[in-house]
Amino acid sequence: MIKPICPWIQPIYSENYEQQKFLEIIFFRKLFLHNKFLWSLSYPFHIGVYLFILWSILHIISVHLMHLEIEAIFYAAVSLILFFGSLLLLYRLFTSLEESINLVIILSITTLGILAEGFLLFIFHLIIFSFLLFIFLTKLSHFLLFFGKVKKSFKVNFEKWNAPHIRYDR
Amino acid sequence: MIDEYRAVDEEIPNFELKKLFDREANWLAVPLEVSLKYCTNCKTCDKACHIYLSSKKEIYKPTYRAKILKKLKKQNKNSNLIELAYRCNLCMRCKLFCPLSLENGLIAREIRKFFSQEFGIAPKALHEGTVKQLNTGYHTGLSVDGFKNIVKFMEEDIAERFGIEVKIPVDKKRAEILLINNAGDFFSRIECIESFVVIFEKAGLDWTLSSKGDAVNYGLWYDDFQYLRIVERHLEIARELDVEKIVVGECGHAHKALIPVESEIKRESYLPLLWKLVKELELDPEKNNFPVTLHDPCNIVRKLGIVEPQRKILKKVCSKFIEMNPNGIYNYCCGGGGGLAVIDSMRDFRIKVSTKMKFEQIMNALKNFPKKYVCAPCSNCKRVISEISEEIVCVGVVDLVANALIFD
Ligand code: SF4
Ligand code: SF4
Repeated sequence: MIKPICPWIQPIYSENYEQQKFLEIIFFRKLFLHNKFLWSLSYPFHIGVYLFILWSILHIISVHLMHLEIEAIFYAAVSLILFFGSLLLLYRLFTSLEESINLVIILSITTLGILAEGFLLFIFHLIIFSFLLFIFLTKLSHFLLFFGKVKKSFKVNFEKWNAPHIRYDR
Repeated sequence: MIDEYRAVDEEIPNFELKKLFDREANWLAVPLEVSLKYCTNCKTCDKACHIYLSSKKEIYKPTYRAKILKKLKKQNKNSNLIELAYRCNLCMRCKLFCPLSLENGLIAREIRKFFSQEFGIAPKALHEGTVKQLNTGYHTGLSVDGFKNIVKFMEEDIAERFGIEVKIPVDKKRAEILLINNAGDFFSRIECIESFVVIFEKAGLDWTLSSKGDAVNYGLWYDDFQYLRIVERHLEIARELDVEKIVVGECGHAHKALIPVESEIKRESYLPLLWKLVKELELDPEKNNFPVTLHDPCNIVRKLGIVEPQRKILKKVCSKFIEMNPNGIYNYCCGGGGGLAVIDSMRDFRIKVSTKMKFEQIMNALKNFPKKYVCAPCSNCKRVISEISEEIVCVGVVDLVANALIFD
């Protein structure tokens, strides 16, 4: 009996699939190669998100590696990047409502974050973090695609389809 | 009506798309859903699709089908959906460009599948092709006697063209290689099969043809059931003859249909094998002293990753090999992919829309030469490319190798 593997869902040929996936996540390779305009708008935003996640992880494991002031400066810098990044991406208000709403929320929180200090800053940090968790549930969770594995082998279900040839006996 | 072309002529009944997204019924429901859900509308794929690039029509955008499909997820009657699905070559260039590797080609293919598996609605050329193939072994309906006559003709023709006597092995048991080809080649490009015969005999391979069936599998483009039935049939032929492996000849979609499947029978493309032979055989590249460019069939190159062997072969057997641009995995589809090559009613679409980018590419690569020799290692590509213009002469990789052979 054959074990069919879907001929459609294999990854497209590339010499170094894993390495290219890495380049995709870190540098947005395909966007850079084929859509430079959008790359220049979306890359700053994503770098902001990456830095923010890194920062949050450090917070969660309570590693106060740096002096509190340095930390505040770093946080302000990350917020600024996120702020301008989302501002840049906002041109997409014209193309997708769902994403735009997410962006506007990030934008407003980071704006407040930039203005905040001390304890307030910590609170804003938490708000952004929980918001990031929330948007993982929306379309913005597209990053998950890089980690998903597609089931390759399949079975066809004769019972479920109705066309005459499905049951015809050759 | 979305445009002036027609791929199917049946009346479309009311339909509910639920089944397409039901994981029990459709084993491709997950990638389909993912591709619909996560598209960020970045439009990078627009720049990849030759059909959109050559027409600039909104309805030919890779993401347009997804948009309509999302709207129609509930009950609807929309005869345009199936037509839209046949405005795509399933070439997957959009997937290569998409930052998230989303499958707009697969969406088109799944829409085709839905209508075929649910209502039996598909272009006649495709469905009749699979039915004939399951009945006779050949999508053209060729009989065993007809096949044997063609083999006899080939032996005579080879004696005339190459001046050598050969006995073509047919249905030989326990051979090392079973060579399967596109049946279309037996009718319209017999020289391609003859080239295989000449090369294999010259190299002294232990091989055979089968009278029981050809390599074609139209099911790949529109129906899982027909696809699987034909795959099973191909493997059955190999089991009956007890061969060591199947070598798929110059037919792109047959590569894609048969090679990725898991089975105890080994299957491989003819290109790496040919490269191995070319290294051993005595050849004279001056026999092919005309400028020739190489077309990369999507199924063999982008979808299976066989990129280098054909280039190495051409560099060895042609004295003036010129690459077209873009090439390799970035190639443009010939315009006949996904079954469009064999649907006669889509001829105008091919000429006016889908082959345009390929035509430009060929003209750019060979602009200084009156005759445009294009080497296309796929039967359907050859058919479509030679249809584009009279200036173009389409040949296969095997033809060039056979032509360069030195006989004592
Ligand atoms: S698979 Fe090819 S023809 Fe179809 S939408 Fe994508 S790029 Fe265009
Ligand atoms: S490239 Fe991918 S994400 Fe961008 S619009 Fe096309 S399918 Fe959607």
